Formats: sequence, C-alpha cells, structure tokens
Amino acid sequence: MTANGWFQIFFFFALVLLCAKPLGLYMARVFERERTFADRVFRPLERLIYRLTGIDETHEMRWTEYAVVMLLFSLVTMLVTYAIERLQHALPLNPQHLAGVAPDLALNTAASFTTNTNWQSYVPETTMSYLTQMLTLAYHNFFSAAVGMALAVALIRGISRRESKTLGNFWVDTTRASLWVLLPGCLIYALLLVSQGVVQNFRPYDQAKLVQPQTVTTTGTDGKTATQTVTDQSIAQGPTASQEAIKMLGTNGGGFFNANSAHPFENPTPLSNLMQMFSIFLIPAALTVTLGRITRAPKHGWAVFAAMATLFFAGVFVAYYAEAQPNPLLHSVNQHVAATQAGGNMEGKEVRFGIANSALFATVTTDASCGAVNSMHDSFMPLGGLVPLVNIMLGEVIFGGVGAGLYGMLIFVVLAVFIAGLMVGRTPEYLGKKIESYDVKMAMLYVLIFPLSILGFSAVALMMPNLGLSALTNTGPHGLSEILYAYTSATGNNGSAFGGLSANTHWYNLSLASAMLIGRFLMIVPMLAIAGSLARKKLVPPSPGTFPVHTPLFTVLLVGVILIVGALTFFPALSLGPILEHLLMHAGRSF
Amino acid sequence: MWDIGCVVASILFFYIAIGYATGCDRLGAKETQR
Repeated sequence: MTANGWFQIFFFFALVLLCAKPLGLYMARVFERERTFADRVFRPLERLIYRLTGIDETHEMRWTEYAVVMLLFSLVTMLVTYAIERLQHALPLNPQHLAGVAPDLALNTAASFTTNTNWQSYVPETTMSYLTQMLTLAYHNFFSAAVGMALAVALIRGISRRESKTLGNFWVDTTRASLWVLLPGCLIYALLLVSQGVVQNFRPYDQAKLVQPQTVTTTGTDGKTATQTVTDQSIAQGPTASQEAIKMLGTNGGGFFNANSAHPFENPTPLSNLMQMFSIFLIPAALTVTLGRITRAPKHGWAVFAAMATLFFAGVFVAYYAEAQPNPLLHSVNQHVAATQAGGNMEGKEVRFGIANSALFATVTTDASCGAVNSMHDSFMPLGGLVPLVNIMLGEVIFGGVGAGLYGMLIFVVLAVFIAGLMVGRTPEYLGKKIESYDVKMAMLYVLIFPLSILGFSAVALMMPNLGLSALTNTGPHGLSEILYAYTSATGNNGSAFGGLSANTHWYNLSLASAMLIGRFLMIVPMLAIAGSLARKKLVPPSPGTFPVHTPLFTVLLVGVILIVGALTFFPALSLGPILEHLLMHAGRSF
Repeated sequence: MWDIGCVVASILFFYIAIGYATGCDRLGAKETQR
C-alpha cells in the first residue's frame, strides 16, 4: 500500500461526503413536492407527463397498491425488453446486422436489467444492436434506478408519517426520480465522459490493420483445432457515453462493451475512473441525508451514513492490502513497489488505474449494487476477491444501490433497534414508532430470502456436474467462489461477474434470472409491508428506555448486526471458498 | 415454444409476487386484530 493510493481513496470519499448533503436536501424537496431551484424547468414537463399519461398526482397509494403497481410495471417493461431483444434483427439501428437474442439469454437479460442487476451473460458489442442497448437496456437503467429511489422514499415516508394508510404515489415518485434527479445528472455526466474520450456515435464498427498479425489456434465444437492468421481488428463503436452515465449514476453496471469500465472507450482516464466511482456512491450517500431531512432526524441520517462509511473503509482496507501484497507463489519475482512497477498483484488490472484504484473500484461497485468493473475480480488474491463477495452478501447496504441500499439498511436498522429493545427489556422503538411482531417478521422475511436464494441455487449448481460444474474453468475452492459469486451477484442485484464461469447456458441463464427476480421483488414486498405498517402507527413520545438512533453506540450496534447476520449466514460457504483458497495459496497451491 | 415458456414463466413469477404481497397484507391485518 502506498500513501499516494490512500490519498486517492480519501480524496474520493471526501468528494462523496461533500456532495451528499446538497444532493440529499435537494432530493428531499423533490420527493416532498417542495419548491426547488429547478421548478421552472421540470415542473411544466412533469405536469405534461401526467396529463399525457392520465396520472393523478394527488392520488395516494396504500403499500399494497404501491407494490402491485410496481410489480405490474416491472412485468410489462420486462416483457417488452424480451420482445425487442428477440426481434432486434428486424428492427432499425442494427448496422452490424446482429441476430435476434436467444430466448434463454433474452429472458436473463430482460430480468437482469429490470431488476437493476445488469448481469451480462453475453458480449454486448457482438450480441445487442444499438436499438436494443438504447431503447430497452438504457431505459431500464433509468427506470430500475428510479423505482429503487421511489421505494426508498416510500419507506422513509412510512417512517415519518403518523396514522396514515398511504405511502405516496408510485408513478409520481418514479417520474420525479427520473426527471428531477437522474436525467439532468446524466446529461451533465455524459458530456464530462465525452470530454475524457468516451465514444458517442452510431457508426458501424471500425476495421483496423494489425501492425503485428497474430496467429491464433482455436478448438471447434467437434474438438478439432484450427490455426489462422488474424490481420484485421474490429473496433466497436456506439452511443457509449450516454449509456455509461446512467450505468454508473443509477448503480446499474451493465457495460456497453464486454470489458465494462476496463475498456478504454468506456473509462479512458484516471479522471473518468474517479468520476465513475463517485457517481456510483453519489445518490446512495445523499439518500441518507434525504432520510434525515424527511424524518426530521438529520443526526439519524448521519448515523446511518457513518455505519455505511465504517463498513466501506473496512472493505477497501482489506481489498487494497490483499492486492498490494506480493504473490507468495511467485518466489523468484521482484514484486516490490518501484518507479517502473506498481508492486503487488497486477493480474487482471489496468495499468492506467493501478492497484489502489482497482481495489477501490471493486469495493465501491460491490458496496453499491452497481456491478461495473474496471478489473477482473477473478484475478484478485483470495482475500481481495473475498471483499466484493462479502460486500454483496451483507445485502449491499454499504451505500448500496440507488434506493435499494437505503431500504436494505433501514431493514437492518429495524433489526438493530429490536435487538436493543430486547437487551434492555423494553418495547423497541424507531423514531417514535413501536417496532412490533409484524415488523420483525417482515424484516426477517427480507433477511432470509436473500441467503435462501444464494445458497440454494449455489448448492443445486454444485450438485449437478452437467449443468453447474461444466461451465467452470477453475476447480477447488476457486471454482466454488465463482459459482457462489454468480448467485450472490444475481440475488443481490449487483451484476458483476467474478469470471471463470461460462454463464451463457440454459441452466445459468434461467437460474440466474430466477435469482435476480427473487432478490429484487420478493425482498421489496416485505420492505413495503414494513413501510405500510410503520405509516399506520401512532407516534410514541421518547422515554428513558428509548434507544437513541443518532449516537455512535447506535452506529456500532448497526454495524454489528449487519456483520453478525452476514457472518452467521455465509461464513461456512466463504470458509470453503476464498478463505480456504488463501490458506492453500500459502501452502503452495493455486487453482 | 421457448418464447411461450419464457413469457408464461415471467407472468407466473409476478402473479406469485402479487399473491405474496396480498399474503403479507393479510398477515398484517390479522396481527392488528389481535
């Protein structure tokens, strides 16, 4: 680890901290329908949208109506995405004349983008037409993020309202999230990315002559090998910057190119890299301020922020430390930091980003449910690879996805105050609301669905050599990590891939699609049930037995609950995967 | 055939999710009556 590396990490976080408050306060005003400086521009547009779509913005929804409308909206948009993928060969904006997407892959991709996961079992530049990327995938990048923000705001309203049956209006919340926050943010951000060299065009792919022709040996499906000399290279183009902006700001993560943010057309410079990491954390961090403002408990918002920051720094420290260490299997190689080499483990990392920014990016993208990558997580040292895995397993509550991170964290807050109440023998209270049996049941439902999907699907994949194991390129604990990571990423709606798993098979496409849908929608329902339950409750005046939720003690308890729940659930699987691999690496074995 | 299967499976999942929401709501109503 170097001082320069840590300086960059702290600089990144200071930037997030600096911008969280103004954006958080702005979002609170947007969602509470208070006046903002942008009213003149967006309010007429918003009214026009409601007039054209017939939405009554004064209509308030119960939690069940909010949930059903959200589910039906997601179903319809998912099916439209599926249809466009299947029919893209007959639709315009397909200069490469790409074929329609195979049905299982189309379903996987439709589920993936609807759920804000953006898992990609395909190579985008050779599979998806420009129309598919722009009309369906970029559309989902906006609306899956807007839905996440709307849901978080619905939960915040549930906490702040008293004796109310309603949580707001789903259509109004998603419209406001898109129009007032995501669209203007992306417009500015896309231009900044273009200034750094991110491409934005509709050109067919460029063809370049190789300076040094390459001889490539390939093995066909019949097992026969063939040797050919490659003299040309196809250089993919496309409307990348516009998609890149919402990919990061909406914590989506699906790359325009297969190499994602390691591709020089998606993430060309160290400055664009900093902007990308910053934009992943920006809205999730700001939402903690929105929480504090709407609930009129700003210190509570900062206490939640502090818990997230603590877990973030713990993760980035382990990842950076693990990646900066020399690989013990390479005894005879000089791996120390010098002017001509970064030192540590540079396998799978871009030279222009180095170790600190690769470890930081991996931590940020898995703390949030983004899933964009600028390095190969599969090439990390075992403990370095453990960090992204654990981040997702903790429920991506460390800032988390836009909206999803905050509502996930608030479920842990409910559990933390419940445990605090049990410890002092009082009825647990959260910001003046009594936490009762129904709330805890729903919170536990939320917490248990997550590991059930991850461990259940992983176990099935591991038990079926023809379906699950045949797609692996590594054996032993590393192979286990690859399968575990895939289902963790899918259920957590992260979308990053560890690598080493050829996931474009019927089994993985269908099972990962199921995991993504379960991890998104079956967890949202109990969360909204808690929101509805809290909104109905009376406000209880604070008493000496009330556990304050704005103190360092609360932050410590919250971090403890998150770690204990995560550790108890996933430690056995982790010990057979990355932890065992770390121990075997020091014993001289690699996989 | 695959297309029909994928569409039906998607609709079925969301149908179950709506039923699940209704179930959670009913559980809440029961708990309130107690």
